Amino acid sequence: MRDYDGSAVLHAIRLILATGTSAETITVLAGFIESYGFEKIFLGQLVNPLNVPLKDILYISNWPDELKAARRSRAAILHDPIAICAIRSKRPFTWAEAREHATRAGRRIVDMVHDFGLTHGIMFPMHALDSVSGGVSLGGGIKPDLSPVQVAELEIVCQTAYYHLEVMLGPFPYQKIAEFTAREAECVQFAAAGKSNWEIAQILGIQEDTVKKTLRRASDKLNAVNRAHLVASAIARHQIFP
Amino acid sequence: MFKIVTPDTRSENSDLLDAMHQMRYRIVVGEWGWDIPGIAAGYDKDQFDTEDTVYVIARTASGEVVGTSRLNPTVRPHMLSELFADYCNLQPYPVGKDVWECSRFVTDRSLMTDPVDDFRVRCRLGLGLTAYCLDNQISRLSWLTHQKFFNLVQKVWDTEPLGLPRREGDDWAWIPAVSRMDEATFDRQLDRYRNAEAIVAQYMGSKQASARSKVA
Repeated sequence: MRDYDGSAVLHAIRLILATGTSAETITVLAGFIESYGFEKIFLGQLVNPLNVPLKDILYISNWPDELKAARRSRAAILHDPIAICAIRSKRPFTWAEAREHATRAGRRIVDMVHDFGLTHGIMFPMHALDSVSGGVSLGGGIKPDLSPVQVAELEIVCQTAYYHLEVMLGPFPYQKIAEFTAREAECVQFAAAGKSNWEIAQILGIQEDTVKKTLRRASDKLNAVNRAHLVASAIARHQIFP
Repeated sequence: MFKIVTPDTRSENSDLLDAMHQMRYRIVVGEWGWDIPGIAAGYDKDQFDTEDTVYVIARTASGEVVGTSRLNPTVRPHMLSELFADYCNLQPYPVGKDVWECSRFVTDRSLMTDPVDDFRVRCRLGLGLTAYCLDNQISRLSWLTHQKFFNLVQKVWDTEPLGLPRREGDDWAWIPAVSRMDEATFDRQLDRYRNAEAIVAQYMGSKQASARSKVA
């Protein structure tokens, strides 16, 4: 990459790192993405809104209020192909690419966003050790024509903004790590592997009744209603290895 | 909490370093699938394990190597200068007496019981890195980081990328970066380490069980 001049990107990164409020950060980010053909930003953690209240997660967006409200009322994130792909993807992808995998409900969400003039965009998944996954989604009304270098430029600037905001606005309750005791983690880990209470008791050399009580305590901590919910919640909240 | 092996203390720690090189091989080659040219089977020791290299090592209570990281001076050939100079297209990789390069930040999850343990081991390695830097007037650390690791590093240390994310196909990206080593960060890292324990102790306290103390 001889003759590549990264000074504009580095300048934007340094500006972002110097911001002290989320409004400032978004203003700098919005200014940077404009030259790439994007107007709107959604930046936030990708979590199930039925499990976690909005106030407990990182979520910032300059989308129209009406659109945000409409999405919230439908728990759009659960069907939105862009959010679903972001959780699984290691790399950035265009909205068009994600839409190919949309379910019927997903296509309705896509159409809803489309009606607000947001027809094209690119999603940058945000994955980090010790963090819930998230994403920075940039949208606009024109199909962008970006080179791989330009995508990488946007990626690093979005990453900087996202984690700067996570530190600034956090810590988020959802990211609490150590809730299970070692014994609880052990029992749930074996439940996650499909072991019955009796089998777990045999493996750990304890009474089956103790296993039941331990799993019940673990469930209470995560407000889980059944075994599957307990295991899924435990993995999502980093209490056990997936 | 962590052990630091410098060139001066290398000879009295040869068994520990052997165990470390074997652990690195198990994880880096065995688990991560890296192809490192020129190393012996079962023993990850390459051209950047030199007479100047410093190692930060975390061990389990029974003495097994559970985490390790290595530090190399940038005034000598190092990974960014020899292998990845072209990755640094935002700013040149830093060189100086007060800048060292960190690499092979590796932990062995098979020795840990749960993600809290995993988190604590990584905290210990991070604390060792910062402590060594503070004690030796090293103001910055450069590293070629995996995307997920870069995003963690950005939150813990005052960090800037040296280059754009570099990825092959659909895979994770690699990002060269430089981080500032200072006391404020050391305090933040200690808080992160302590936070894991405090929450457990809080739970135990509320259940009127005796407080658990963990000696790292």
